[in-house]
Amino acid sequence: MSAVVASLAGALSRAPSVADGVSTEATAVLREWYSARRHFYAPTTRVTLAQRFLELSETWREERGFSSSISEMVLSPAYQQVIGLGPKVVPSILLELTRQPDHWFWALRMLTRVDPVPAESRGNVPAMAKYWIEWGESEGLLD
Amino acid sequence: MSRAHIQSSFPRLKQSTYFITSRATPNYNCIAWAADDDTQYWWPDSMSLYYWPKGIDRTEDLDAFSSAFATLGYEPCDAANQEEGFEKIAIFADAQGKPLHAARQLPNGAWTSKLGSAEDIQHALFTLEGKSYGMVQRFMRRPISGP
Repeated sequence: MSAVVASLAGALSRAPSVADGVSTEATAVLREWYSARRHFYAPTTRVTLAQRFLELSETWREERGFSSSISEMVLSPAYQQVIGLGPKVVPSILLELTRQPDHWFWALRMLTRVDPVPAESRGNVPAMAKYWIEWGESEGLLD
Repeated sequence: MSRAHIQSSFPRLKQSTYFITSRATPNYNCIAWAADDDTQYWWPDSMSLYYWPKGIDRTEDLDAFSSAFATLGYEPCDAANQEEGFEKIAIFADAQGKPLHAARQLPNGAWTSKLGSAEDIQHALFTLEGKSYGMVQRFMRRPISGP
């Protein structure tokens, strides 16, 4: 199979023509194959943003181990990747807070540029989660 | 977390008896637990998202952490030995003096620690020293308040 593909790829790179024996149909098949191959080797194209967030959140819980340090937690690679997913991941984070409150507040603050938690509730994790969930509902992010 | 998981991060725990004394929760951390507070998470984060005593520097160094405990009446002391009429805390830090953990002495002389977002354990103080929490670098004590 790989020899066939290599042959087709070589033919395609030489601007295929009927004279080269590569039909329009074969070219289309090759392009589809390349697309499928790219898709297969790039898992993020096969999972939804919500699934990707859940995968990263599990990895983050393993990475943080027994650390109490918020700065260490938020600098862990998986946490940084969650932030790197951008504002579109905020609904997934908020949904996770409704299921299992955890230290997503830094990421939410970075991604939304707001902080709905009043000063007197800072550090109170269930209350912090509640204020963020209420904010998400008011913004229509948990519909 | 399982005992095996705990022991993999703190191998010296295997040298003595220790007990898991709570369920895992992210609601409070070791600093809060050392301060006898299981209602909030203490950390001097730069965005002020978490609890830290008012007026104390939000910096991750031993002086700031000692000052935080001083707001509860703790003062520096020299050692981990049990002293009648006093309760003690111990602050663990890395080689650069960055605090990583705190533990509190119990009336029976053992120590209690919250392991990050995992469980509380009762343990011998120095069995938590190592790669994860560094070494004990500061002791503090305060008089035990009356009944």
